[in-house]
Amino acid sequence: MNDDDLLRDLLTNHLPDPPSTPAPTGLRRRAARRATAAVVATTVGVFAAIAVSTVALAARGDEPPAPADPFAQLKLELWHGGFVTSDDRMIIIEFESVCDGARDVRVDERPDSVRIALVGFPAVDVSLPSLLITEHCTAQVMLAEPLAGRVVIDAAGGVPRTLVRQSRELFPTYPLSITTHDMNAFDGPPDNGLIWQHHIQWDKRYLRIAQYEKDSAGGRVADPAVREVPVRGHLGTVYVDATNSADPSKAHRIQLGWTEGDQRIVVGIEESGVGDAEAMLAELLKVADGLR
Amino acid sequence: MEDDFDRYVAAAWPRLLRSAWLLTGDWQLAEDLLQTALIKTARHWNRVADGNSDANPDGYVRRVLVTTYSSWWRRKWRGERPTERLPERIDADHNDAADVRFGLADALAGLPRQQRAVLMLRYHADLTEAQTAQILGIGIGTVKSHTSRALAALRRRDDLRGLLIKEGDR
Repeated sequence: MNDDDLLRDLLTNHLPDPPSTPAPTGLRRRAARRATAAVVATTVGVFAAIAVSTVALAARGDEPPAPADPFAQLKLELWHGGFVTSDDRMIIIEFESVCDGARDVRVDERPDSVRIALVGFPAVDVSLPSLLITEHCTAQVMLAEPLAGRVVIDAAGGVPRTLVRQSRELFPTYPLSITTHDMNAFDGPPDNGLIWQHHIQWDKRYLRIAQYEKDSAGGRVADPAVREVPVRGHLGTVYVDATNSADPSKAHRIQLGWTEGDQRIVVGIEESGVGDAEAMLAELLKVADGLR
Repeated sequence: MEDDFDRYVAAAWPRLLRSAWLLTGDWQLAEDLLQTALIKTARHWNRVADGNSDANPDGYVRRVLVTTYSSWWRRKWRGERPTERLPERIDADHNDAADVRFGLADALAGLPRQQRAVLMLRYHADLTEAQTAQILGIGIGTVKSHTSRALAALRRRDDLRGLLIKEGDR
């Protein structure tokens, strides 16, 4: 066997078995989980340039005829979750764009429901996705009337979508399980073949930050320097999400979140260039303390 | 057509989840990644399946897995990453298949992201070097160098070396 055959055998016949979770029965159940993405995507300003228009239905008589579907002739695409602003007037939907053309968001407001249509105008054949074309996008829709408990429906599939309500001008998200992600890591930028890797580990009242020096093949070449940062709260209430960029020209960002009742609060701090993770985290904890 | 898609997901889920795991090194992240890729695939399912006997939905989904994984990383919102050292590691028994799997997970977690993507596309999805290069937007030479470095890194592990050394070199 040559090298190719050996690798093919290793990566085909020696993979671990996946956990015994069944395949989802449809796309609908994914809306709740993806909401987390939109929170951060919104935080870092990843907005699609989307033209938004509102189609408000005119007032009708007592026995209105069945309204024509305003989206009947349009190519609709699925969107999969979103938010309602605290004033109950703006809906932010999220979707995956493959940059294959323009998109428009249209709204059909009715007394008991709000149908939101993501309309696609494909310009190119997207049968072969490329590395550069996938992007998570959000689009804002301003309602003519407050949502007031009306059901929000994705016009593409005709299914209701559960939206997350914003509060305190921060973005709550669905609770995440800290117990399954009790250690997070992020890589620093390559520096002469070295990669600085930080591990942040939640250990009850401390965040343990370990900084490794690694070679380009990923092997550790030095013992980590470990420091601890005390935090308030208790296990399960504080969640730390830390990233920085492989591109040194990009910002270094750390986020921290916690749960208040059924709300989830996420705050972040960002620094240009190669940041000092510990200083940023300490600063972030001060901010979090002020908000809690 | 939606029923077709649901049937495909039900049948392909385990093998596609393994593909996603090769990229993420974490089953939970792999499930998130795969679900996102399937949402994108569903949008184009008519073209992907299309009643065409040459249609290769697995190949399409795996390409979307890679591009989605890359876009996740570029967006920086997905802070969690597989750890360098997996918890509760058991002592290696080189002849035990479970140890090989555990060692593989540990080794993959230490590889740079693009090397993992190359390994998944080349040796799990069975694409050519040219196809892999096209999807990742890199040169064929880079695909080769990533493969070589990844193979070298895997061979440095005692628990995997036996599977990655040619017969004549043992």
